[in-house]
Amino acid sequence: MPSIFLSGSKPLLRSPLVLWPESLRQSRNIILDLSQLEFVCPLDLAGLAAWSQSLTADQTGEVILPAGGVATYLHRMKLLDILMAHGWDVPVVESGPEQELAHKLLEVTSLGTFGEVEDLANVLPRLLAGNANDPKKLVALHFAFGELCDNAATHSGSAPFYVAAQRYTGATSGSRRLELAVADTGIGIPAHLRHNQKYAEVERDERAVALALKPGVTGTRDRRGYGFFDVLREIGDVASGNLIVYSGRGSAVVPFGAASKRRRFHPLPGYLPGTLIQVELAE
Amino acid sequence: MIFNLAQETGRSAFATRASAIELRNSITSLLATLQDSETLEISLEGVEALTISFADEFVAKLALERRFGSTDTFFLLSNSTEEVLETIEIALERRSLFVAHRASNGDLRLIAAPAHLKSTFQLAIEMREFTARQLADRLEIKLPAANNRIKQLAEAGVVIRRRQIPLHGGREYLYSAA
Repeated sequence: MPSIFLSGSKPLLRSPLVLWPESLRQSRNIILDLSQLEFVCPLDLAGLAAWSQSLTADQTGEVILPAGGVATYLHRMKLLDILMAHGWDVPVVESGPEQELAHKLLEVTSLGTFGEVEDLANVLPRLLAGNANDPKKLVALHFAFGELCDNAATHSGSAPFYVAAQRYTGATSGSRRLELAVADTGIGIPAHLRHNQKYAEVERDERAVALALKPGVTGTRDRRGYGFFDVLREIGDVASGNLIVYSGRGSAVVPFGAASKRRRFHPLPGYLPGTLIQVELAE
Repeated sequence: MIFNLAQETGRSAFATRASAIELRNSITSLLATLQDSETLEISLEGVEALTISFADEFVAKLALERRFGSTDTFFLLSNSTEEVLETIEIALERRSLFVAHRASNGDLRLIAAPAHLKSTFQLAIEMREFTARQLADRLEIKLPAANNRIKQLAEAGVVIRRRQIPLHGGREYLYSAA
């Protein structure tokens, strides 16, 4: 059986195409081998959740879990529940009572309607902003979550899409940060941008992704296209970090608040259906 | 007529264009029922955060619709936090629109308007009721320029007019600010 093999630390963040090998298209039976997985970030979680819904009715999918704490973490973040809901055969993970960690994490969450996005937008930014009474940080987190989810809900063409978040205390890595991810398997940023005649001739997807981050660039006919630009501006006012985007055959790593020349746009070595986005904020 | 956004929706934060469209449609229906000299006030009390996309689809496009509606009713926002007002201002500026906002202490000002219209509006509030000629004299500008400013303020719903018959006969409009 063909296997998707995810190993080490942050496998999708390092190589987002690992879930989309050509060999997978014709396969009836698929194994998702996570046995060598050491660490996952929100982008891994949301990306896996979004990808896993591509299992068709005439396919079977089997998951091999990692040992110990990593499996427990996948269970705690609700990824295993989502894999099962999408028809994957997932081993049972024994776990103890769950702590209330709303200020530290957002379990992988499926968002299929605008109402669901609004409901989550009403609680998540405040929870992630923590106890500090900082209206600017609250607004910035709301911007990041709201604009990215609005994009996914409006333009991806597929429902549902997935979100996840994790706050790291720095006990292990030494760096305190917050990571928020949004993942969908819809039309993708480059293809959507080309709906606008003005950008129909943009050939390279990494160029399309770069354009999409500029103000006023949109795949629609409306006077809009400021979503990414506003997220970068608003977050850059309150924190340092990065915006990471994978979509189609293009990718971007954009530091918040930094000059344009530090932005990096690269082609992907293959095609990624949809969009994976991670916001990384230093705290 | 007051539409309290947080109370009507049960939410304090707003993110998506789709929900903004729904809300705007319900307010458009309310606007159509207003009588002359009535005010539609959108209260933002209790609203903690908006995305700019929501502000654009809700406030900016409502302001745009207002431009083409009746000029005999008032339209304004109220009770917003400064953070939310900044977000709304960005959305309005991108479409070259402006609206009036009444703070919780009663102060009334224009958001995202050019400086000359802001000062004209403040003078209009001070004068309470005025003709175009009276405004022109106070601003020390020509009558067509005063009429142009009044027209822009009326289209935004921050000034309304009513016809009056002056002593010398003929036709004259009397204006008042929100």
